[in-house]
Amino acid sequence: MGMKILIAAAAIAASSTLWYETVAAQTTAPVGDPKHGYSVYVAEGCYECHGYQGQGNGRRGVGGGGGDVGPTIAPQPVPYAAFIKQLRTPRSVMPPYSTNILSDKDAADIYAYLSSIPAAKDPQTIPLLKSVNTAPAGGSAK
Amino acid sequence: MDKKRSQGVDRRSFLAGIGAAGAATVAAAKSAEGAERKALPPKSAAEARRLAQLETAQSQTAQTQSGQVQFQSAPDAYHVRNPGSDFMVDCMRRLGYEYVAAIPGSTFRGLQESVIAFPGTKPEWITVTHEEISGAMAHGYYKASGKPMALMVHNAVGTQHVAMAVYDAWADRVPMLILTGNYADATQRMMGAEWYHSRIDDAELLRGMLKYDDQPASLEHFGESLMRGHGLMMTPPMGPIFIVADQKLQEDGFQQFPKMRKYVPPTPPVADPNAVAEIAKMLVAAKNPVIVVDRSVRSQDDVRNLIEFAELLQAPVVDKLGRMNFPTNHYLWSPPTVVGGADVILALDVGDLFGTVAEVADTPHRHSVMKIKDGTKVISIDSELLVPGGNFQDKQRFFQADLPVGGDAAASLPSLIEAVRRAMSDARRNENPQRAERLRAAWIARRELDLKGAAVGWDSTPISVPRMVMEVYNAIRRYDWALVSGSSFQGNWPQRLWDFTAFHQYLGSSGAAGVGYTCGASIGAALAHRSDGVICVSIQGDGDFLMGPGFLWSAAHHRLPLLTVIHNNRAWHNETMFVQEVAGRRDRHPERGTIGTVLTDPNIDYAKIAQGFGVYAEGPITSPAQLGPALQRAVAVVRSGHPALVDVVAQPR
Repeated sequence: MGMKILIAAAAIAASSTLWYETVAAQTTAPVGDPKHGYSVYVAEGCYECHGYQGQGNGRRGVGGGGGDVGPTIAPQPVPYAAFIKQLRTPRSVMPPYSTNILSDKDAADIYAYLSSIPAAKDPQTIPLLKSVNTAPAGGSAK
Repeated sequence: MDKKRSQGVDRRSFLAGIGAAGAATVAAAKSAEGAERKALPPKSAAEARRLAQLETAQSQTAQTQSGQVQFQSAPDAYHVRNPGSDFMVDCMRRLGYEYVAAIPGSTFRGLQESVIAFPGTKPEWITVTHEEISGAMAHGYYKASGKPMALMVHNAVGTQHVAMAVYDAWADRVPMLILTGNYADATQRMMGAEWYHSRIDDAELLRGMLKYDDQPASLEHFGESLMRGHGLMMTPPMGPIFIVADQKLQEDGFQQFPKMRKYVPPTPPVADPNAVAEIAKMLVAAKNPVIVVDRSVRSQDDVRNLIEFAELLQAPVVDKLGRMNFPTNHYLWSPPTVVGGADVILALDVGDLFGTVAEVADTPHRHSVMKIKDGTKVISIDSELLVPGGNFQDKQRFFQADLPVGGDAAASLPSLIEAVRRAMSDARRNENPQRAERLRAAWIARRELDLKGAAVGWDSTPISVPRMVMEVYNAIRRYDWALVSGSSFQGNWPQRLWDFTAFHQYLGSSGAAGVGYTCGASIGAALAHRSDGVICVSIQGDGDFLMGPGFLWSAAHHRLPLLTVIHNNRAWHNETMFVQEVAGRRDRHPERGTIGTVLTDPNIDYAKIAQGFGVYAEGPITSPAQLGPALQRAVAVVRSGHPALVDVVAQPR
């Protein structure tokens, strides 16, 4: 499921937050089967753009070209109603997934899988990420 | 040409003009080989013959420099003295060509023999297994060294093989000299293959992606054409050139060679001074100026100029990654989205100006969407204005800039810096610390966001892309290093997590998105860094690898220190996404998007392939914990002067 959601500018990202919040109030997530959800997530190819853990490409790629793929959708996925809305009537370049392709149950199971993904570790507890420079270089204006 | 210059002269006079650089190279090689000769007596008749040839070459070189070489006539009808290809190769030497890459082809056999006849001299012969590899190799070599490389291709057949690599170089504005051979006089051709390997118009197949081509009819014509073409290809915007060395000219003997004038490189075209002053005024007056770069620099000096320029204005810099234009650890390094807030945008040799300020989304209706505000002024300094249009659409969609300026961005930067200094008032300068503070905070916030993103799936299998990228960085960061592959298929994670500070540390990608580029380009870069201790690493897509795996044999054969990390997602993954996307829109079977786009059943064992080419290799690595140690072992091999490969089964993006 190529959820290429929101390969768009920061302005679109900001407006989408409002969209999610509006839709979020409408529906709560049904109980789903995360194990089956994972198998559907892989079989339908959701991993292709969003990665096996829903990590996507984080923020938009820094350069031009193929760095821009699906955004992060887990851990802590968007509210269920927003998830379903994006799945069935996607914004941006993500293709639609109708009930012919994914039943409501399969969709709920995928959501259950995404919700079951544990929070990522604090990068400061991962030695390789802790070693990444966080203090920018550059002189003052002349 | 005046009569005096057109008069033929003997080989002594011609060779006396060899440049100091070439002589120094020869002298160094002579010294090394001489030491070898003293230290080790010949072990065989073949070795004795090689040393005798070397002595002859050295003696000839020494005599050349003192003007003592005399041409000899052929002793009988069975021998040829002073073949024309010797002159042709000398012309290449005068222009500083250090390497020529080729898979052998009989149409240039004379040239090949003239290159290899004198061991220890330049240009050095590099053997490849496919013409596309030699083209991509010259591409990578230029971007890593700043010097052009030559390749020889078999007429008609090799020319077709090399075409994809030439297109990449053309689209990436990279120079290379392509030579082929042909009997223009058809009565000289033997029956069969020599006819199949001949054309009436040799360059026709490649002409849409060449800056210059010619079929010289005499040695003097060849020398002049090579100098003209060389000057053209090295003047921005750069591009490949193609010259046919007639086989009769290559193989006939001559009593004298033409004398050529000393080559003088042209200066690059710079932006008009009045336009530069206007640009400076607009940038200084802007509240949110943004600088966009792509193929904008060619050296570390240019990078320093760009830093100075951006800091003067406190303007964020968006690097579209055609080259390593701007340090990723500088607080002005910024994502493409900042153009949305700009009031003035300066694009410096940006290949895709339209794509910088707008986009055409991959949706059923292909709407164009502007990414900039109404009223944003767009300035473009662009050497593309000097490139004629053609059949290939590498120029991308047209966007009308508010101030389009023809010229080379790198060459124009010094005058831009001076113009901005002159235009900058004290009041404007006093705003800079505040702007700097805001942009520094934005850089830190983005880096923290990237670190959080990289942590997701850190210990997962298949290995996450940021994990793979950081394990690679950890293995090379203590050395002087260069990433010699593109990074877009790795989500640009290297630029998001590594500190790129020097021009040589990133070369950009293929130019025309031609699959197979990385194979040849990575060994071209490794050739450029063969002796300077830089660890070259290529994060090589598995689909790209399969277009030209023979590059590994060349790496092993020529002792090219390259670390190849296979990003093995077992697919031509971009296409997997595309097909699945189309299926979803048609409401049918997105799960079948893998048919024809994945490389499974059976899985390919890249380490075994590499070992078959004589390259140290490990893999497939499937566990994140195994990756770091495998990379450390591979880097040790690379540091000893040999190639190594690690096959990493990783997530698609």
